[in-house]
Amino acid sequence: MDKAHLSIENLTVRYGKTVVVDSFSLEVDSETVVLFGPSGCGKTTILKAILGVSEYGKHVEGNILFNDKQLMHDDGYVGMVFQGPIVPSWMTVSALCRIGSKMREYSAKEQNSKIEKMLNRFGISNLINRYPYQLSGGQKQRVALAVTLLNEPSILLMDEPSTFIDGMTRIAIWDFLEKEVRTLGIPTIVVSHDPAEAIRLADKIYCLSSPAAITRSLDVPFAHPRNDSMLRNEDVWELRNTLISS
Amino acid sequence: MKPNEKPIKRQRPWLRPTLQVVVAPATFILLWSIIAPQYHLPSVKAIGLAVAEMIEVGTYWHDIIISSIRGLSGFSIGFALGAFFGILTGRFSQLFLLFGGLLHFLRWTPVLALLPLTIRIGGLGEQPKIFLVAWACFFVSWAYTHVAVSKLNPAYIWWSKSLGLNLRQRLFRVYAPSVSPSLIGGARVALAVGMIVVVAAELGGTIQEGFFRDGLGYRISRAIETNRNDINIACILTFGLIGTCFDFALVQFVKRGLRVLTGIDFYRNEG
Repeated sequence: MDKAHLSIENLTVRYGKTVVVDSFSLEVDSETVVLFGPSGCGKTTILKAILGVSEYGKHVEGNILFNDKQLMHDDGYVGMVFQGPIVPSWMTVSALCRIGSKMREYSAKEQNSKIEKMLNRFGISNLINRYPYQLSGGQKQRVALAVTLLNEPSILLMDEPSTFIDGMTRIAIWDFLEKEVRTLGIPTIVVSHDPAEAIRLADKIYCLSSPAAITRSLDVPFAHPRNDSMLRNEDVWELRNTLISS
Repeated sequence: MKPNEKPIKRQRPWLRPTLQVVVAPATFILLWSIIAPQYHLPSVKAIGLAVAEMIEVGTYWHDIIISSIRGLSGFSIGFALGAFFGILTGRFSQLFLLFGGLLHFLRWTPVLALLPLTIRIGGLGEQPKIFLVAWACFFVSWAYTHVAVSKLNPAYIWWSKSLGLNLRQRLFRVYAPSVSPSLIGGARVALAVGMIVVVAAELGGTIQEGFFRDGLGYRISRAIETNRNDINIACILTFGLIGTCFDFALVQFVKRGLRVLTGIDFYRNEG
C-alpha cells in the first residue's frame, strides 16, 4: 500500500459561541494515533469533523488534507467505528456487510468472497445470518469493524472502541486491532480515555485538554505486535503514569 | 457463501394466532356470562340473536360498511397529513419553533366538543364526520411522527455517512426502519381514536336516505331510544371487532409495504 498522509491544519469547531476544538493540528501517516483526554474535551468532535458531519449550529474552520488534497467526506472515504458500537438492529450481519458504497460496486460473487474472507479473519463467519440483537458486545464491535473495513476506507476513525465491553473481550479486541487492523496500513485515529488502551494501540499519543488542543505528544516506543503482558513492563507503567498525570 | 447458521425461527408459530382467535373470545364470553346476569344485561345468546335480526332486516352489513368508510377515509386523510407535518417539524426544528405551539394548542382542543359546531356548519352529511375523524387522527399521527423523526439517533446519520450511503439508501434502509416502529404505533393509536370519533359523530345524527345513511353509531343511539340493550351491545362489540380487524390489517399492510420498499424484514424478531 502507498504511504498515506492525513493532515489536519488549524481545525476549529464552534457550537454557537462555544469553542469545542481550538486550532487543532495533527499529522498522521500510515500509523495509529490515539487522541487521549478526559471525557467532554472534544475528542469525538474532532472525529466528526474529519468524517464531515454537519450539525445544526456547528461551525467548522480549518483544512483537512489527505495526501495533500482536500479530504472528500462522501463515498465512504472515511470509515468510522462508533462508540457503542452502532449496528442497526434490523439488518443481518450479511446485509450490513453489503451496504457500504464501495461494496455495492462489486458483483454479488465478489461481495460474497470478500465478506467470507473478512469475517473469517475476524473469526465471526458463523454470525453471518444473525441480527445484532443476537450478538454480544465484543461480537458487535467486530461486526462494526468488519463492515467499516469491507468498505475499504482510506482513513479509519475509532471512537473508544473498547468502551462498554468487559475486560476479557476488551483484551481480545485490542489483540484483534493489533493483528488485523494495524497491518492494513490505513491512517488510524483512535479516541480513548483509557491509558492501557492508548498504550496498546498507539504509535503516537496526543494528550488533549479542553477545548480540544494538544498539550503533549508522546511516542510509544514499544515494538509491535504488542500483547497484554507488555502492560506489566516497567517502562509501560512509567508511560501510563505520564499519561494519567498529563 | 454458505451460511453456517440459519436464522433463529420462532418456536410454535401456531400458538399466537390460536390464543388470539380462540382463547381470548372464549374468555370474554365466559366473563360476560358471569357478569351480565348480575346487571340485567343481555346474554351472549340474546346478543347473537340481535345480530341475526339486524342481518335479516338488512341494516347490519350496511352499517358496518358505512362506519368503516367514515373511519378509514378520515384516518387516511388525517394520518397522511399528520405524518407529513410530523416529518417536516421533526426534521426542521425551525418549523417546529414556528408551528409547534399552535399544533400543540389545537391538539388539546377537545375534538368531540367540535361536533355540534361541525353539524351546524356542515349539516348531517359525510364531510363533517370525515373532517372530525381526520382532525383527531391528524394530531395523533403528527405527535408520534414528530417525536420519531426528531429523536432519530444521530449516530445512524453519521454511520450512513461513514459508509457512503446515498440519499435513497439512507431513507429506505436506515431512517425509515429506524422511525417506523413509532410511526406504526402512531397509526394504530390514530386509527383507534378515529373509530371512537366515528361513533360520536354518528351519535350526533346522520341523514336518513341514500347510501350514506345510518351507521353503527346511529344504530346504537336508536337502540338506546328503543330500549334495545341487545342491539346496543351487539353494535358496540361489532365496533370492537372491526377495529381489531383494521388494526391487524394495518400492521400487516405496513409490514409488507416496508418489506417491499426497503428489502428488509425488520419486524421478524417482533413476531
